[in-house]
Amino acid sequence: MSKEKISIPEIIEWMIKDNKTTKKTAEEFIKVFLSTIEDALLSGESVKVKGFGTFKLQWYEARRSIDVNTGNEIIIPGFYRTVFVPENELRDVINEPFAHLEAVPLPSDEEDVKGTEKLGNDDSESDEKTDQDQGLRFFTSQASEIKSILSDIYAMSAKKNNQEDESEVLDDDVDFEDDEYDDDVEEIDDFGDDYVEKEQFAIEESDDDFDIIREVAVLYPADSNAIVVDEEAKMEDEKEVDISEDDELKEIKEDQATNAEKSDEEILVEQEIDKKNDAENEISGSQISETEGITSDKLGKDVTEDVINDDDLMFDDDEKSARKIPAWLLVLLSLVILGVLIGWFASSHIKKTIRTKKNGQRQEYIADSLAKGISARENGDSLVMLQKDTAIDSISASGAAVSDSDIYATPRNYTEFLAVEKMVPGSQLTRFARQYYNHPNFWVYIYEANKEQIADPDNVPVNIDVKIPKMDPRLIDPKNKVSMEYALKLQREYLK
Amino acid sequence: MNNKELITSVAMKMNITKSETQELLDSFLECCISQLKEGNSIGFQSFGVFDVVKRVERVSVHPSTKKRSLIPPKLVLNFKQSLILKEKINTKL
Repeated sequence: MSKEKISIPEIIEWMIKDNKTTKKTAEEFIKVFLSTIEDALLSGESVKVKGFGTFKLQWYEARRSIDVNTGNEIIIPGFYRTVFVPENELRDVINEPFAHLEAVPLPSDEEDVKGTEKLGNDDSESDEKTDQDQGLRFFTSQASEIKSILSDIYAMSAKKNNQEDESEVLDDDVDFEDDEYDDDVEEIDDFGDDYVEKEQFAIEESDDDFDIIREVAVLYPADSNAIVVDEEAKMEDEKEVDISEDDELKEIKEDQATNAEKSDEEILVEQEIDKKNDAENEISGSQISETEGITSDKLGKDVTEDVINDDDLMFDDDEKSARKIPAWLLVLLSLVILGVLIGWFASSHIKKTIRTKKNGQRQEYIADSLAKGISARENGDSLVMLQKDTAIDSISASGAAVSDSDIYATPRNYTEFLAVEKMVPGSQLTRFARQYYNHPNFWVYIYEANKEQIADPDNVPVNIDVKIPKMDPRLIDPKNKVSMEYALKLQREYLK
Repeated sequence: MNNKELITSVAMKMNITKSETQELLDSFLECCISQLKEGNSIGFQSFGVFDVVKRVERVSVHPSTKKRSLIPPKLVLNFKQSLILKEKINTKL
């Protein structure tokens, strides 16, 4: 690459060669062109030349400096500089020789940090697992709890699907589905068992048993065989038969063939799917009712009813075992519906689930409610309600009570939290504020909620869990001047 | 001042049509860019110098993740105003 200095005469020569203009016009043009730009700049305007770039003026503030020769302090007065910003195309054209280069991540001492970060992630996952183990030890009898877990599972499976680069995950996924399938069959066995014993127990209890088994099966798709051993020891033989028949059934589905012998299993599968669908309906129903402010007690009742309906369904199906082909068709149809529902759930709940996963509150709640024993059903329900509460509920409740002006005057007490974030090196409260409240200025509320942990907002300790409080939407409205000013005022207070 | 206004203004001053001005401008820019592409610098007296400068590769550290990465070298187009232009602008404004 030659480095020559080219000035106006050379340019004019080139222009004449190129475009057959006379020397005079070319000369005049350049002169006028430059003077026009100059004039525009002098009048304070910026000049945009298409295909080239923009000329504009930039003000440089006066600054202190030291005269190198004398050592005296001098003041360099402020001045304007003409800056030229090339258009993107021109920039790319100029950079063409190096355009193929890309930024390369460097391995360095910082690698260790990355490694620990990864480890940290692994830890959190294993933590989750241990938490789940705890949950396993305590059997809970909350129908609404199952709903949240179900939705979690669905969201998780969708999440796994997203990470297609990890082949292992894919394998796991397949296993997972199979296990789930088997477990569902087991469930039905157990459920049938329950039903037989139903005359001895109250409806509520059988309901609970079913719930427990269901939860366990869903939570521990891989380990459930070991877990449900007690309940299914007597049913084991049957179960094995069921599983094998189940596999056969899958093949049959693939072959699009009907077999009279399999009709019983088909009905089993149908029941299972019906139940699944019902469970999903329960979930959606529960969410809707939650937003409408219906208490979880009522939810529990709903679920009980649903389960009873399931009982009825099962018997109906047994009676209908004569209808073979329609049953088979129903299986296919309900499979399709199931797929659609799973997809919908995965997409709509992935965000929420990730948050709940992160703070692991769910497991705590399970532990809590179980520690209190069977009588904790009501408590558990309320806890679950707390946990599942979305922003709408409490904000509408508290928001209705407090008027616009009082909102800024009353001190905030933080009882409900959107999430818990771990401070890692480089984390910032403002970043969390931007993530959760859409504006960095509202970090003050996060600080207020975590005051006991954060002594100095300028210097937040790492490796602490920062709770992100749920805020009144009026307090964190970036478009509202008052809320912004209030946040800034708080900021000034805290940063004194 | 955008491109249109610039062309109108130049055309008026030179007493030629806008399309002629556009042609002249195009050939002028083409010439300039081809020269700059080869790494030459173009100086316009009493206006400034267009110069292609190589920014050397450097190591950047992401402030949040502390990940280090090597930013490759690149060529950028620089413009430095002439002293005459600077004086003119700073006395007038």
